[in-house]
Amino acid sequence: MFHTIKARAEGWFADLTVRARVIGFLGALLLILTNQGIAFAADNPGGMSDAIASLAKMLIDGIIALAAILLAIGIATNFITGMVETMVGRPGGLSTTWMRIAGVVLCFVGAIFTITIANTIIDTLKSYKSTGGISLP
Amino acid sequence: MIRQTVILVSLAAFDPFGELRGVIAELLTLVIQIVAVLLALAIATGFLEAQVSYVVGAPSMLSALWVKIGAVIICLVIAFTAVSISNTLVGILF
Repeated sequence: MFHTIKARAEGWFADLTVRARVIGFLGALLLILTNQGIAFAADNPGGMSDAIASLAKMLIDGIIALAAILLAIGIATNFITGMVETMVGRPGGLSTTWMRIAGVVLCFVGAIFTITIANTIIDTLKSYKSTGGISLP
Repeated sequence: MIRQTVILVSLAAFDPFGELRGVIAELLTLVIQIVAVLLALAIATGFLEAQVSYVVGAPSMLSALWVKIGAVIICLVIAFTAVSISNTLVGILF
């Protein structure tokens, strides 16, 4: 039985056409299995727009973290500046410190509300979006 | 079978650029989404930049931020109305 199958397989693989077909079939099977792997890897199917939105949100989260660090640095350095200016006999610099801290806080609030601001602008301008077809000459 | 083929051929003859229009519409949708994302990123980076400038003692950068956000909004409006602008130009020129 085994010898019969072996002899028949040898006969098939001796033929160049059959061998090419078998190799092609195995290659196609390999491609199918590889693509199945990629499809399984995509466990969050949402398309390109969701991926872009996720990437932007990740970047904006990083920027907000940097803004928080800068808020702390800005408050500390500006108060040191105000202290030095008061110490050296120019107390008007302390009022500048308050203005600078207000600016730093304003920018931090702006960075925190980035997504809200962007969504508001986009929702407002959405009505201007073109809805008609594309004309060709 | 022949009837279906005839219908398909007549549809293709009716709008030979239908698929091209569809592809361009998809591309425009993607471009508009990218512009919207860039708007959000410009706002975030602009405020961060202004904050850095405040920390280092050059608060005039905050005024440049408003110009930057205004320019990005104008770009968004142009991206939204790209098809209308294109149609108008095609209508004028041809």
